[in-house]
Amino acid sequence: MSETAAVNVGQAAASRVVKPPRLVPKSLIVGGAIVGMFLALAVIGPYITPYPFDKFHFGSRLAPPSADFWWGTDRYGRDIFSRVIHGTSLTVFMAGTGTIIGVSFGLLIGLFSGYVGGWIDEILMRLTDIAMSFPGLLLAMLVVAALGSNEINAVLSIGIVFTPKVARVVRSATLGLRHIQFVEAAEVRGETNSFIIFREILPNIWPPIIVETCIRLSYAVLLVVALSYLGLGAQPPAPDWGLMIAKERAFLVTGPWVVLAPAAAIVSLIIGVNLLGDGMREWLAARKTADE
Amino acid sequence: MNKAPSPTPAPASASVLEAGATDRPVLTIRDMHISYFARGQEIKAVRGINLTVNAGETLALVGESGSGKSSVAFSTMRGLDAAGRLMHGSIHFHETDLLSLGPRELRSIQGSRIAMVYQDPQTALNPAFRIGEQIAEVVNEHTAASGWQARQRVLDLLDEVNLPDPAGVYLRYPHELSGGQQQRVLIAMAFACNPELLIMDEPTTGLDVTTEAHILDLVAKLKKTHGSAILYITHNLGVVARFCHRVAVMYAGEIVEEGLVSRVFSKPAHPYTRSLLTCIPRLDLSKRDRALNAIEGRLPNLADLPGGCIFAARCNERQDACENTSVTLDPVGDDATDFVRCLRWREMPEFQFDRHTRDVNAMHTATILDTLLEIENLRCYYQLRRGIKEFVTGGAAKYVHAVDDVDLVLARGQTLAIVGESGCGKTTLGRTVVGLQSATAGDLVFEGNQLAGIARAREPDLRRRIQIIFQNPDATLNPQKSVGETIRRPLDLFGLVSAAEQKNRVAELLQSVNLPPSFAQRYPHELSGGEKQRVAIARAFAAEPELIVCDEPLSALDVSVQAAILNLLVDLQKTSKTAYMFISHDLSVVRYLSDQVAVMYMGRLCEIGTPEEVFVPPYHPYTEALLSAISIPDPSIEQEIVRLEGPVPSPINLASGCRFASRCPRKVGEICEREDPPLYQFGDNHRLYCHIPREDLEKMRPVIRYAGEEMAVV
Repeated sequence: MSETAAVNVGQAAASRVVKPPRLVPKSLIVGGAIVGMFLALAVIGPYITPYPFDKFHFGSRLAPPSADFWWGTDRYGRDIFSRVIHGTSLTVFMAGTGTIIGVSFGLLIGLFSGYVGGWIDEILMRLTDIAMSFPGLLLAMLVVAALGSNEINAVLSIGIVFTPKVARVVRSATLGLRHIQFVEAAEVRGETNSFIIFREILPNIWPPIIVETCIRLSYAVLLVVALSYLGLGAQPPAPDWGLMIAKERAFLVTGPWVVLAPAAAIVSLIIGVNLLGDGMREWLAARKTADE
Repeated sequence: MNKAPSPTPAPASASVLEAGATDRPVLTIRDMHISYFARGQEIKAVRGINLTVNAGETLALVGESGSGKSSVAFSTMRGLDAAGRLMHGSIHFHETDLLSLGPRELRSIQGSRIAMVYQDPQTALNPAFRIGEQIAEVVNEHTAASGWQARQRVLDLLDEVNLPDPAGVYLRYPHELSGGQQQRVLIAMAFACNPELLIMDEPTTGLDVTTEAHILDLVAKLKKTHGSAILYITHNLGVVARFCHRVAVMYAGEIVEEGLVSRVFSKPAHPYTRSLLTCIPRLDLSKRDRALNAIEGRLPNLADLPGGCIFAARCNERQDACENTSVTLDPVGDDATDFVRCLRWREMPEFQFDRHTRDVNAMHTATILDTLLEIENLRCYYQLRRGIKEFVTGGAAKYVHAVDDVDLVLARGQTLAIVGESGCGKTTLGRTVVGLQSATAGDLVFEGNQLAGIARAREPDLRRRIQIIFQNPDATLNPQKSVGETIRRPLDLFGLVSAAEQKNRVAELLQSVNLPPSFAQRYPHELSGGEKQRVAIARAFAAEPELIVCDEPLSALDVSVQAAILNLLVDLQKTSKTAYMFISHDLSVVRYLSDQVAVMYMGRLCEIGTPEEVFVPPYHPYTEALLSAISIPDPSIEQEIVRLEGPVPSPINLASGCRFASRCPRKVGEICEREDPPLYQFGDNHRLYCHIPREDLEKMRPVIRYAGEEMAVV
């Protein structure tokens, strides 16, 4: 009895094909492909569109999708497809720049606050608490309202909204390394704060920063679109997605394509960025455990 | 109703066991193979293990990290993690095939008839429940007892594991107990249902030696009263010698030697066992006598196994045949109890522990010729955060007295060891010397220069001359920097060699720590623990220091690697004349390496002198207890039994008096609590702080002796 049991265990194990662990998660591949496509469109989009984004076709206003106008036209007869493709660069640029600003400042504040500690840390963190007590969109609106409605200020407002949130994440990652031995070894050598922060700590906290950046990016897209929708971002006749939805929403019933097309673009970009972030997190975590 | 009913339903197969071993197997493991899968590779962690644990016996499974000993234990409890898989083999508990049981049946056996004690008591106890509730849960689950009966049973158990005030402990939460007390609770839990088999996975590894000694005494006592069979997993051969019947030595997934403890420790047959027994010094060896027998090299890659003997690559007795002949277990003696997996065991010379006897009067007494560092009245206090209560009542701030009035002198080119249990302040002292924290009061004078508190505030050249080596090899190197970058940085920072010379100097430093220069391109995750520690040593020496604070640099390493690192530290000291401040809890290592030993307890010095002075009488009672607690894997050495009872005092706002009074087995009277102990001077440099009269101190017997002799092993 025991002999057969032993053999069964062996066979069961042997018959199971041992799959090597998937090195790159599927979500990372799909998300990366979607985001890559949007990035490519942002660069080459203006050169491949069938019509200029602001060309009026008075003969075919609010035309449904057809061979001439793939996604139909709006009330001035502008080609929606061309406008959505053109708008990619605007949205991607605004969301991307806003995220970069927020992550850069958040990174600096988080690293400094976490490493130096003491009352400086206390003051910086209470300030971030205050900033974070405003809902993101509200704070962004306040900033734009104060500075004036245009693309640059919208980007700035995104940076300001994101800075404290990123700072928090970076600070907690920094705290984890604050008293680790290689950092203390550097202190015994008498290295400067900036050497320890940028050369000893920063290279070891990229994984959470990368994941946080991806999460921020998807919120940035939403913020950009929301600000434009509210008229606080890009101004007409810019082919901004949020702006398009805002201006054309009166025609939602008669010509739903005018709203659906930019909305679909927004949704797919956000799904892509989220997948990228999830995949990145999974991949970095798997790499970490494999190293150990 | 006053009589508590028998809490354990007696299993049909196991009647009441007599103390001592039998030949009825409780656990039988046959041809066990375990593999782990990572990065598409199959790591064959355990290959063809056969083990039998008989009723009433204690079998030790000994091995270093990576030997697969814990995998054997976990698979017996069917608890391998997701990456691990039992590929082949059978596990029987009595007649029951454990592998054929469903989860429900398995659980009814586990906890009641098989129990396990884990290494880390902090993670094994649920922090959200009271101690008593957690043990009562086991009692309720597996026995007929419930309600007040269960409670009574739990109180009995807590009493049985010698916890003071069982009723109080019952109501406490895990964080309110010390590590040793938590481990006692786990042992109480394990014995709650009189298990027939107890699996203990390194139960004393994280504990202080004095606590370890208590726990081992306790397990030995419980084993006698309950008659459980024990599978004891450890890396510490000294612990095995103390209370196991049989031992199986594992190396890289195979059992290389198995047999009765009495035979294995007196006539070890396998070269690996022999090396393990001799690679760490007993108390009779000093660096001035000879180098240690290190096991060079590293574990073979278990994903790509070498043919032939698994130990061949690191074996001193290796011959060509060893590398291509597969080796089977060969019986040693006629009793079919002992086996060894070696081709050449019959040809090897008889094993003998080498024994150093020395003339006590002609022993080394260090004279401090050239003072390097003076530590004067050093105090390091930590202020505790004021709680709400203090805030409201305006109570005074509380301080932890980590280091309290310590005077020490360190000589150029010599080693000063600081020993003591965790929490005695030895690490704080070292960190203060290197400038990782500043002292509350007192002075550090380094070659006539007053040292500033924090390293950054010190002059660059003073900073360069004091370096540190840390305990944990996995955290000591920046994972994102290559070995070359790590070692080059001090050269650069202190401008020690020109840019063109740096590469050569790095290669030189790597060679000086016995690593090939090609290691400069490697990253820390490609290195073993011992190799990382060598790189850390090279980094410290790159600054050409005059003093290196070594903060437990060996305690995270396997014993075979420890010996090699110790030899390296001795060699480097000889050539560079660097002084070490060696912080350790391991007395045999301290004995080997040091020229001066300072014993610390609760922030104060107890005793200081050369090892030859400190490790023979007269002792401070605390030194005596420490010596008694260490485990020595040599049957020809006997130890006086001194165990510390009594509570460890809180280190907060300590009053005057001897800090050790509450636990001291030789306490004189209430003067110990009232007055600071006076200083006794024996010989030139042997200082001892105690209230015991000088005559009584001089009458003390040596704690560690060769069997049948009066002379101390030193």
